[in-house]
Order: sequence, then C-alpha cells, then structure tokens
Amino acid sequence: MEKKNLALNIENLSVKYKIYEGILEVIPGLSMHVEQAERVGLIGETGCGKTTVLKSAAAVLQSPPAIVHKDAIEVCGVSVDGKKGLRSVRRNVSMIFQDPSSSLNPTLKISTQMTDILKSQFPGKRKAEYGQMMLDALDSVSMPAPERVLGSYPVQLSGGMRQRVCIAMALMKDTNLMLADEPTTALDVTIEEQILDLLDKLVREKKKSLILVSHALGAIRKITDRVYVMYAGNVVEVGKTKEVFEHPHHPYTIGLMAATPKLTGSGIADGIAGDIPSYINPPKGCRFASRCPRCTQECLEAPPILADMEDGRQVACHHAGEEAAV
Amino acid sequence: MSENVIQIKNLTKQFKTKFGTLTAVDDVSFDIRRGENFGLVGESGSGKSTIGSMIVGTYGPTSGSITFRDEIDISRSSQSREPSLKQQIQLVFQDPGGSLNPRKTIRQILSVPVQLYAGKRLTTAEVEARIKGILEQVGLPVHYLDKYPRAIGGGEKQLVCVARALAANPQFIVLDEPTSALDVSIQAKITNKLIELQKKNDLSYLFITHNLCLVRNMCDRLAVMYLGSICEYADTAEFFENPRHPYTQMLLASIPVLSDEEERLKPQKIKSIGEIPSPLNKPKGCPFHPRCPFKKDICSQDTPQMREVSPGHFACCHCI
Repeated sequence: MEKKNLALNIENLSVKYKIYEGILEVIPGLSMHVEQAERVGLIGETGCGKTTVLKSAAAVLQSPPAIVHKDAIEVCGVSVDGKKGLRSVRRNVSMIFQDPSSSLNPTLKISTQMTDILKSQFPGKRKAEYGQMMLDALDSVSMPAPERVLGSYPVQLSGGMRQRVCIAMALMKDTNLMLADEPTTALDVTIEEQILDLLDKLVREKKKSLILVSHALGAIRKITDRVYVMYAGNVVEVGKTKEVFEHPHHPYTIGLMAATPKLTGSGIADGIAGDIPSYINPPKGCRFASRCPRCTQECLEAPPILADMEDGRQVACHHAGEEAAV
Repeated sequence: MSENVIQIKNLTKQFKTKFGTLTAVDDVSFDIRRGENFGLVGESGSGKSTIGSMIVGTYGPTSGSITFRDEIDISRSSQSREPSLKQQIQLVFQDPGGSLNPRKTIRQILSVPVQLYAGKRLTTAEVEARIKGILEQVGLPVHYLDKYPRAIGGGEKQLVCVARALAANPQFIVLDEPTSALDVSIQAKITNKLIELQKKNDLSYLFITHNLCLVRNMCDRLAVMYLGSICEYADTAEFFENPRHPYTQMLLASIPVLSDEEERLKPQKIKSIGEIPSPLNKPKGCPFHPRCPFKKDICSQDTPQMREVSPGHFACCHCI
C-alpha cells in the first residue's frame, strides 16, 4: 500500500494517562489507517479509548496528563509533530463533536463564530463575501431559514439545527479528513437519520475521508466502508463494515452484536458478563479474557496480535476462526 | 382481582412558563393491564416522562384522571397519597449515578424503603435479612452492601436502583429510560433481569424509552407519543407488523439497524423530514401535519380522534 495516499496513518500509538491513583495504560499499541475518500467507522463501548485515538489524530490530546509514544501519526503524509505538523493538521482535519450545544460558544451569534473560521481560512475578503459563503455553507447542510440562523445564538436553535451548524462549520474548511465523534448520540432517531444521510451525502460528494466514532452500531453500518472494533484500548477486529456485521469473528464483536436489541423481536441475548478491566495494571494477556467464553490458558498469558484471516479480515484473538466454539 | 393496574383517562398536564402555557401532555388515555409490560415510546419532549411523573405523583394532572387498580383515584400529587399507595407504585430513573446519594453506602440506601414500608418496627437483623434477599434477587453480591455508589459500575448502579424500588415491595414500577445511559452489553443484562423480576414478583411495568428495538423485545403493548398526544397504540407484534400512523412509520423507517433482514422489516416509503416543533408553539390540528407526507387540508384544521383501526390497534390520524 502506498503510504503517501493515506489520509491518516497511525502506527503503534500508545497512550498512558498519569493520574493520582497511578498510570492508566489506556492504549497499549494501536495502528490504523484511513485511505483517501474512505469512510471508516470506530466502534466501542464507553471508556475503550475511541476519543483518545481521535484526539491523537487531530493533535489535540493534552499532554500532560497524557503520555504519548508512537512510531508515526501522519495526516496526508505529514507527521503531526511540531509547528509544521500542527499547521498541516489545521489545514487538513476538521472535527464534529458529540454535543453540539457545548461545542458552540453560547455568548456569540452563529454568524460571528462562522466568520472566525472563514477569516482564518480565507483572509482578506469583504464582509458581504463572507456572508454569502456562510449562507452557502448553511444551504449545503439543508438548514431551514439560514438568514435567521446566522443572527441567532446557539440556545435559540434546536439540537438538530445546532449539529447542522457544526457540520457546516466543519465543511467550510476545505479539509481532507473529517473526524466525527458521536455526532448523533445527542439527537432523536428521526433527526439522527437526517444528519447521517447528510453526512453521507456530503462526504461522498466532496470525496472526503471520514472517521465516524460511535457506539451506535446501526449508524456505523449505515455510512461506513470499513470498521475498526475497539475493546479496552485495543483494536480487536478490522474489516469491511458489511462483512463484520454479517459474520463477526472476535468474541467481543459477536457478543456486542447479539446484545443489541433487534427489530425482528428475537429476544435479547444475555449481554457480556463482567466489566472492562481497570487500566491501572491491566491484565498481562488478552484484555477481553475475563469476559470471554473462549478463554484458555494461552489468553491469560500473552496478548493476541491483530492477524490477517483468510477472508481479508483482521482479528486479534488466539482462537480466531473457531466460531463453532461459541 | 382487578384487571387494570393503571387506567388513564383524558389526562392533560400544562406548565406555566415565562413564554406562555406549555401543554406537555394533551388529552391522553390508555390503560396498563395487570402483569403487563407497557412501553411508552417517543422522542425528546413528547411528554412520556411527564406521564410517568404524574403516575408516581411528582405532580398532579391539570385535568383528567389516573385510576390505580380500577378503584383508587391517584390523580393528585404524592403528598396527599396514603403511604400504602406510595409503596405500591415505585420509580426507576434514567441516570443511575444521579439518583443514588453519593454519601451513603448501598446498605443505607436500601434500608430506607425497607424500614419505611415495613408497616412495623423492624430489628436491625430483620432489615439486614431483607436487604440481602433483595440484593440476591437483582443478582448483586452481598459484599456490595458496604460500597459507595461511586465504587461500582453504571450497570450495577442501575441494579441498585431497581433493588431500591423492589425494597418497597411494589405492584407497579415506572421505568423511566432505565438503560439509555448504559452500554449495549450492560443494557441487555439489565433488561433481562427486569423481565425475570417481573415474572417472579408479579409486577407491572410502564417502560418509558425512545428505543423502539428494545420495546420490540420487551413489551407486551406500546403507545407512541408525539408532542404530548398518543398517535398509535397497539399490541407489540401487531404494531411492528402493521404500523398505521405516518409518524410511527417514519420513526420505524429511521432506526439504524444491523442486518439486511431487519432492513426488510422497516416501512420503506417514508423519509424523515423536518423537526419536532416546540411544545410551546404546537401546530393547529394534527400535531404531526407539518412533517407528514400524506397531509390533507383537514389535517391543519381539525385535531384527529383516536380510532380503532383493527381489534386492539388504535391510531389517531385523519388519513387512515
């Protein structure tokens, strides 16, 4: 694979947090990549390190408390380190956050906040030109009554409208890579569908790369090509989204899919017993071992490595390919 | 033996706000049968939690009535209710972290309802025995009694909340989004536990949620709310096979699902458009008409009445 064509390349990232109780070894060693115009999903439950990965990619992880080691993090072929790297990140990455109400400044009008971005991206234009650009941006996210929205404060807009404003702001920058951190979790289902459709359409049209982070499995299935499944800081399964959802290989992915209530009314599986292990002194072997139905002595001793399987899937499990056992 | 645990008739609740009168619940009627798990579904601001609050008596309704077990009128706030009545109706909240006192141990939290509703003075040993019994029922180990809420996981906290409700020995529990703050693997555990407890203790539930897939797998009957009114009300199986109201079709069509098999079960013809209007500024006529793809002139004039479209299946729409 030609590395230069990757929108994002993370190699062997490890993140620890130093806190009062000790050192949290959140991410022991993670690699992922996103190709140009590829839409990648990142699934995992609360506290599995999804947001930490995203923040490292955007170079906004606060350090300290975070202690970061890595072989490489490259956005569009440029390392994110140093001033030059940061400039490249700012030029190439835009981000959408989970909670649209707290990612907008409540004391400033929408127009002021949007102009700020435009001024930094396209300096030296006239006010009327900025105004037209803002209207175009709001139009592209199908915002009803964009003029009124520009003159409003965030509190005067509904949750769905605020998220549309955030997406419009992320799109105004002509970036290659869009990072969406649970963009629809705070919204109702009918609005969620609209926002996902919108995101899908815009990313396709403008040929952008997207990382969609979510714990809502359905949302990931709907708009991504490839998916990374994370558990306790490790990537446990990687593959084409459709295939992973149809035939999950890793016992955690299998459990997660089974625990999600289905429209078919087939009842709810018992979920996965137990909890995520503590990040202070994490288990030396597989981090999923204590909750895993396939666990053997080998799993307690050595952490599994993400390995290729015959069907092009990558799975981190000592017992990959033993589906019948579950 | 009574058949209905809760009977709600023409229930309306209005709140006075700085910006005018907000009608949170508008002329709602339904009943919950004994031993039933009744689902109340709706998006945020549809008034589902307001109904739950009125049943437990956080506040009384503006008009209409709520009847408990076909005989006791409970359309008033809980201050004026008998203790024996309060005991029989309990509540589990959405956020388990926020609804447990962080300064008290699990033992202290559970001993309050046990002592309060025992009807006589209990010795310490008796209280202890009952608490341990309840904890065992919800499937938590006994050594948790001396822990503080912060020391246990989110799912376990919710089990403590369920245990606290059970400690009163109720007949009816209002579950207000009990699993929306939890991860799916934990959600599955809690919902299965709730179903098991219901069968064992002959309980009836009002299950308030926005997750239709969960209702599909848990509830016997359900009602869908939109802007304070019920728009459809049916048996679960019948509802999912044959949704009649345009809003419920839109709601079903917009659920993100996990397989092609489920995709085929969704009504396809409806695309989600528009936003939920503010309940302060409700549309005239049918509350759903500004977003409805099938709207006619009558929809913006007259409020539709609830009609029985097939046995036991009610919908509130001019176009059916």
